[in-house]
Amino acid sequence: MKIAVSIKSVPDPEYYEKITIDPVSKRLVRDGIPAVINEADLHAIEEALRLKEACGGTITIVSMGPPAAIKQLKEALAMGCDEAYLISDRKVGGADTLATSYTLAKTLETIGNFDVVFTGSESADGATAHVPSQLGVWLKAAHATNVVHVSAEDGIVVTKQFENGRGRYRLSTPCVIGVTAKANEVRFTNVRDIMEVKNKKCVVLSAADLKDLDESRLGLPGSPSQNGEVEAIEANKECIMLEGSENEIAEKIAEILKQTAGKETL
Amino acid sequence: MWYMNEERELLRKSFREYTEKRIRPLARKLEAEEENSREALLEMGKLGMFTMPVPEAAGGTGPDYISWGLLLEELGKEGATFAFLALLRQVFNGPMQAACSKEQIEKYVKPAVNGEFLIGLAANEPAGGNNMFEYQTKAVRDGDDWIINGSKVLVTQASEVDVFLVLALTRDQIDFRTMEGIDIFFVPTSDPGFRAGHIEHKVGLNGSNTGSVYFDNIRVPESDRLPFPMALLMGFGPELSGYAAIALGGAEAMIAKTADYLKNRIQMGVSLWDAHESARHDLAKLQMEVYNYRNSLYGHLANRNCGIHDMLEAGALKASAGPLLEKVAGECMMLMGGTGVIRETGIEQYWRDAKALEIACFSDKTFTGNVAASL
Repeated sequence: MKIAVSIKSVPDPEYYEKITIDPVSKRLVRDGIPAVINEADLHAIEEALRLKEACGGTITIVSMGPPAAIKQLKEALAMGCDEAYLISDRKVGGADTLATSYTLAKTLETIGNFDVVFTGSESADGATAHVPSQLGVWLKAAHATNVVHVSAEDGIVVTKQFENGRGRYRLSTPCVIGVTAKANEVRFTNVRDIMEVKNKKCVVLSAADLKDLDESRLGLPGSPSQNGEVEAIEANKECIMLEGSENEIAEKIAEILKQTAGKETL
Repeated sequence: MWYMNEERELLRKSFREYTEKRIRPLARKLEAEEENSREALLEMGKLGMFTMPVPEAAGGTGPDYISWGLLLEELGKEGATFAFLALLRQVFNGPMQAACSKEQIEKYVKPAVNGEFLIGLAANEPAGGNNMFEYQTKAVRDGDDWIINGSKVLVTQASEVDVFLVLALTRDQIDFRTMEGIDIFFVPTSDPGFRAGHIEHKVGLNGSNTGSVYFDNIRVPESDRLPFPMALLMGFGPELSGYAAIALGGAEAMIAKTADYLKNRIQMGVSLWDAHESARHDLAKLQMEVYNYRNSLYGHLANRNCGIHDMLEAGALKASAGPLLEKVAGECMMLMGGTGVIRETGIEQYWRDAKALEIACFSDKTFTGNVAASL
């Protein structure tokens, strides 16, 4: 089985307090903030490793990002994936989710015919959860998001998490599966796998390497959505201690909720 | 850092992640002796963490001692006990390369390197660690086998390992020059004649289950006797630099914790960090010692990667590991005031562990004597 995992390099959530927004470009200022593999993407990799263990095959990592993102690709290889491709080009910079998913889809089509493409259901920085579905549409493949379980015993069967329950779906291949961070427990990296990284294929592609590409769909010019006004919110939290019996406190909470309905603060 | 590269960055990241997610919750329970180390050590073996300095022919990934140092340094950040137990794997695996037959490497070393079982060492007796000539544990030849009787004290992981390397006398008279008459045997603890006895209550390294073990008419085949026992006993030396990596990790963790405390402890509207230059400088002096120690350690390990195994250097690093840990722990406890002496703060454990580290695997006095002899 040919398996691919699309991953994203995001700022380490432990440093979120230090991230600022550039007032002109409206983009995150990531200087000095270490990058990590997006949390849900780690779970997508874990799901891919389990599928490979069950069915055999290879796992290819794809990602779009700056050259420094090669570090996260190598981390994915260290987890046991077989090869990695990074599409890195000024032409793809500033992309919204549609331009991103288009670029990733073209990268996947250029590299090979994949049976299953995993992604994280959403990224920790953008958190739009658009890309898995968009990838499915671009690749003309079945797709499912918010997936918490994947079984390959009788075809590809996924379990999707809804607000009020779960649903199981059988997907035809090729398919795109957006995995949530609740899907599994990510394994610890094995020293032997880390030492194999140097022998694995890790390629940086440019837009010129992609087949059948419509360049007008790339990067900022190819992005129908543009950032509007963005401002940092200064959080001023206040803790109010309520006293009294349980019933009295419950009444006080109800009163506060009534008073604050539609307001941002007390 | 001059000794880091892409592969070692990946290794350090994975060691850090393992230490924070798996060892951090375990370390406190281990210290309180509410948990044992066995499952985590076997898991580490399966994750390849004991393969690094071991040659590929013996199931390892080759002799990268720097990566081995990184493992112990990261483990050392969550207390010395577990890091010490991880270090012991290499203290045995290293010299066993030269001490064992090819068959023994296949039967014992390879599975131990890969986490299939744990090997321990049962050497010490009441006569004294360095006084092997008066040991009471005997092995007597019986056809193709040996029959072992006796007991050992101060054995690490007395009740947790699967196979002990047991030091026993095989002659009435030991040859002082060749050490003939002192032999070492692989003894499975599943043998009905094996028994683990009293577990000692120590000042530090709690949870390493140091205790007595007994051997009652245990029969082992000749093939389980080490062909070169002295290679094991004399081969520990270079591996003891691992103690320095443990102390380094502990010192780094304590300094970081203390800096964080001082910056967040507000009195009269000002942090202790901003209010007291002396506190900042006290901590900075410790950090400078750590820089020097780190360079010294990894320089030594880089030499080992080049095939230079300097026993005296390794001994000097081992001898200074306990004192460094004790000094940093003492100063950090002082800088934290009352908070520093509370167990839950996690500093005083290093202070106690430092004393146990000083004495484990030969005391600092032994190494000082070795250096004196070389002058």
